[in-house]
Amino acid sequence: MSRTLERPEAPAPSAAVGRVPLLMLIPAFGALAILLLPLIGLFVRAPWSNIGEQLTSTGVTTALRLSLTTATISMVVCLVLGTPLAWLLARVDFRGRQFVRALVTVPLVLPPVVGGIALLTTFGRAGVLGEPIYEAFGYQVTFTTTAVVVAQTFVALPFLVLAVEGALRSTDRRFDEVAASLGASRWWTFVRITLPLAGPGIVSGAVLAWARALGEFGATITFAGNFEGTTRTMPLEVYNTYQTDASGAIVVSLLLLAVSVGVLAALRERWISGVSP
Amino acid sequence: MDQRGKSVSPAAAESDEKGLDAAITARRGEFEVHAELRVRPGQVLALLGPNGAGKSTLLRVLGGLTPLTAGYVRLDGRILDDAAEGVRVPVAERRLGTVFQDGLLFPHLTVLDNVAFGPRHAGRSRREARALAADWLDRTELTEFSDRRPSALSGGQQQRVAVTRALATDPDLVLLDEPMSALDASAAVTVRRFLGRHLASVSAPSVLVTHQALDALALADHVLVVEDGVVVQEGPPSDVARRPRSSHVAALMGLNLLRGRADGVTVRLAGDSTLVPSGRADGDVFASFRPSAVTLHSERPHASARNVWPGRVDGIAPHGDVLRLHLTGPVPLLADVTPAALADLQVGEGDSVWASVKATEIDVYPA
Repeated sequence: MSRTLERPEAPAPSAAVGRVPLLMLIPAFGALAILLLPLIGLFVRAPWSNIGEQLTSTGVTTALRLSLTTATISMVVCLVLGTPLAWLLARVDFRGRQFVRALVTVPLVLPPVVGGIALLTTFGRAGVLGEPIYEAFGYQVTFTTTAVVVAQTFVALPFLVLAVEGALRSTDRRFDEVAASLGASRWWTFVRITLPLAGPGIVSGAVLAWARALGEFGATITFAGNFEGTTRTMPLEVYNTYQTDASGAIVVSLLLLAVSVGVLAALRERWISGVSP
Repeated sequence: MDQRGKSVSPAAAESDEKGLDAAITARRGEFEVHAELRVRPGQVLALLGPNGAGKSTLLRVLGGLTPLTAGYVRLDGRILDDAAEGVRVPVAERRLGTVFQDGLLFPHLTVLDNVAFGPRHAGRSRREARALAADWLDRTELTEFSDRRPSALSGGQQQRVAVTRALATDPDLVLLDEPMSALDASAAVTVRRFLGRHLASVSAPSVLVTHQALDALALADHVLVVEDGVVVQEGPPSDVARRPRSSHVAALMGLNLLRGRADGVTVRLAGDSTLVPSGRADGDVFASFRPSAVTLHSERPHASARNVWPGRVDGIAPHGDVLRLHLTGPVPLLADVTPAALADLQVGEGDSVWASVKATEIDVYPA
């Protein structure tokens, strides 16, 4: 997903550097096994005979539609808010830049359920901001689809900011100077030069953020609740089904897996191969 | 940057004077760069000097990319920088046409859109900007490349497009940062000729940074030689070429340069050597002469030449259709001899020789 994928392959190392050591090979296979075995288990235990009716049940289609909608909205919010933040971190020298960058990474290491509690204590009906908002407007965000988007954005934003910042840093800053010397303001330089040059990196950042939002569970169930049609996204649907019907949960899991892999593959075809110079 | 109602330091007062007028002091890492530049409209000033001398820093200050620590930059009477007043006009508002060392064409835009970029940001519509860019590409005979991406062009073609892109902004000041140094020799020739032709039709002042004497001689009306952050010589290119005032410039121009103290008839050089020019000279002087004016002898000559020094051949390299010898000794010299003459002399690297120069070949001027 990174830019390195577009670079021409490095020449294959000659046999002169020696055989691949077993000390590398064995752990590498171990890593692959940990990644792939659970997925294989999912396939093996799937109730293939009645998979069709499971997939078309109202609960599943509703959850799928909700998941795709909210993950996409979250991705757009991340792009709109996160790209400017990434640009500031990459291009503007300001005091406390390192501190801000560290702050951005916090949600990355925070357990999502803790994020959900944090969102609740801030935006919940009795929350720091939620309470005055509720008293003034009678509006509460918790247990709404908006809350799902907020939770997903909270966990996905760091992925986008870090990916886009990296992409911006790897574009040649001298193009910014050229654009300025040709009379372009900083805004137009960003729009017409920096963004297109960092395009592939921004797309991969957006894809990462989308995938993270699609899989979001902990913060969503804590902050937005688990209501069919409004907040029960696919991961919550998996969890819900699993309480009563283990094989049904497998089917929904497979669907979630198929959707994310399918979208990633499609985007890779569409973007990553299309942008190489 | 409205300056009215503010007290303006006298040096940087707004004026009606056309062209570039700058007194720049700037930092570049550890050392300080200082120069005063005056370029009339339509004239080309070359900043000539070795790498790391600070000439690119001067250009970056003019371009608004590096702040100056003291002094001012004034263009057509408009103040672009004034250290005392804390004035620094942003790059985009300076109305520049800049050509960078390696072109730096926008890789995602076609040649036409690269050239149209400046006009577009000067407030023209997309269509107007494109039409103007097409006109410019026509003028610079690059129309055939209009629809190509920069990656499909050779280095020399890219640099010609970069020059066209800079000129298409209708700049008040043209800045050229080593425009030929990233090119191979034949592309450099083409781009140099291209620059010569198109800079001649520019009504704005131009500043060219280069470490190649040839660029300065071919393109500039006036040359500033910058070494270690200060101007060591300035003048018309022909003067700088004929009468270098530093060993670096002499080397660039392919001249021998000696320094000494004259007492009317004789110039006493470093060590115990002397030099006798054809005319009178007094005080600290430079003496320069062409390597081809040096004659080599295997024995000490008894002839009339009064300027005879011993030396040792330190290196021999082909130079055009002659051989250029580096001589070490009390008076280090460059000497050009034909291969036939060298064969007659029967000397090689490490051998001792005598060098003589006729007084009439030596140009002596005050240091």
